[in-house]
Amino acid sequence: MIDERVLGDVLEEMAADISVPESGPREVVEAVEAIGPRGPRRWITGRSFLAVAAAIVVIVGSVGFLAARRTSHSANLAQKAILAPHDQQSSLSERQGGVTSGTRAATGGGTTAAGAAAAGTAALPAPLAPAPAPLPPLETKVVKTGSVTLVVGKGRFEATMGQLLNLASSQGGYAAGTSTNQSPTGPSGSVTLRVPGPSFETTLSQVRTYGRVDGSSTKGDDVTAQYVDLTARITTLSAARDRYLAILSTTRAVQDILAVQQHIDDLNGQLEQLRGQQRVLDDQTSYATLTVTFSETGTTPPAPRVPKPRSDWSKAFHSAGHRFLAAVRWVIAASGVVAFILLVLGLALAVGLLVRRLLRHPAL
Amino acid sequence: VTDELEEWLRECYPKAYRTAFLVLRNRADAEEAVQDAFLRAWRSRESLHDIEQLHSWLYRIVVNTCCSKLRSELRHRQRRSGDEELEVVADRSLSPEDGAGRVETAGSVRAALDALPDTLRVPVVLRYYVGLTEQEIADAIGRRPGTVKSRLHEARRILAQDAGLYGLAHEGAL
Repeated sequence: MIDERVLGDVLEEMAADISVPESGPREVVEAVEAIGPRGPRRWITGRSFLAVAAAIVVIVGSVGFLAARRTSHSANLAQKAILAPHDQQSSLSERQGGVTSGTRAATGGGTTAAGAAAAGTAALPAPLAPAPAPLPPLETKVVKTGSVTLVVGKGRFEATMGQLLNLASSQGGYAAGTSTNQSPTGPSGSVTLRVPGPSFETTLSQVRTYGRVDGSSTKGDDVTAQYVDLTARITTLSAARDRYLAILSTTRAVQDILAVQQHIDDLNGQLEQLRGQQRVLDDQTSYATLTVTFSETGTTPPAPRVPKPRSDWSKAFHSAGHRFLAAVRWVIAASGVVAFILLVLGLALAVGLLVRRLLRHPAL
Repeated sequence: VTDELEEWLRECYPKAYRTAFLVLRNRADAEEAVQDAFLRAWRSRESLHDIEQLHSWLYRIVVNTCCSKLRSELRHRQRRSGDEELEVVADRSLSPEDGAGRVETAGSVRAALDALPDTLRVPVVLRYYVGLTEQEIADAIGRRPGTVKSRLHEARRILAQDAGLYGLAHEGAL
């Protein structure tokens, strides 16, 4: 291995043998004189070019993102504008629903429906106003439920069960469920009857004749306001969907067609959801539910299972679970924006690296 | 043009030219690189705050200019010769007979240096002739200091095997 000092010395010695061109310094002076004191200035360098390219990508990406959001926002605004009457109708219906429960008998339901329709029509923005669809005449919607506890004579358990099932059939209803229990002291059981609403009282009276009534209760939940609300929302959404269908028939651009179709699909989804709720309410109000619990004399019926009230700890865990799921939903919803920003940054980085690679000389 | 530039040239041009020649191994390229380096230095002379650092500052500009030139030349050479391996090490099979006729030290060193590939020759020149540190060499050639160190070691090992420098190797420190 050659010593570094020795190598330096021999290199110095060797370099001294290299003849230096005498004209060299003069040529440098001439070159300096030719280009002037400052010389030509490159106004853009590799790094600045890289920075400019990255900035352009980021700006273009951001503008694109904002434009996309703006378009989406405009579409949402348009949809909200179309659906505005529904919101107003909903709130009005809710307000009137509260009043109706106390004063329906005096005022009649027609006023409520007409008021809601009138308010909804007045609030419509002129260009987007769908034709006000007449709401169906208001019909009181009450969900009736009741329960009766009977004590029947010895050996009458099976007969009573048969009477109850026959009663349901005779009233145009059906038995939604039965259960029996054989305890050491005797049999007991229960039947859940679904009978048409108008027959509820008749059925209840009939049931009370089957034995000794140990307890009974009835309840009627007025869901008219909720039903009116659902109906109004369905009507408004249907009108909006019809308008979008009309727009779709005149749209030519593929992008517009897809956007309008997307709105129509959304509206159809909402409509199906609301119609499902409406069907449930229809079923609950068309058929009353009567639960009859009965046992033979001297039988100690099994104590009904009462759900244990939740402890504070349980409530806390339940709440924590809900909030956790809400946070997960929020994260998933926000991930779209984050993914887009990451995409833009990634593109900018890729472009920057590519430009840098193109501009960079290979290392020695 | 001031006297200042002429003073720069008088003091630094010879060593700058020799450095460029050792790096580029071509008179025309060396002249062009040195001229370019002096022009760059003159244009940016306001950035030199300590006049005591003039020489090292000027030589760094010369070295960077030469390395840029060599890099672009390598790139052209790459394009011409396809995927020619840049890290090719010099012919290590020099036998004592090959260098038997070299009698002068300078000639021997020059021949041995010429036999080195650019990747080894340039760090040797910059380290042992110009006197740059390993870090400065690494900055100039775009490699890590560790790479520079290993290349210098490899270059000295190869030079020690060269017949013309065999005596130097044993005269110095083995």
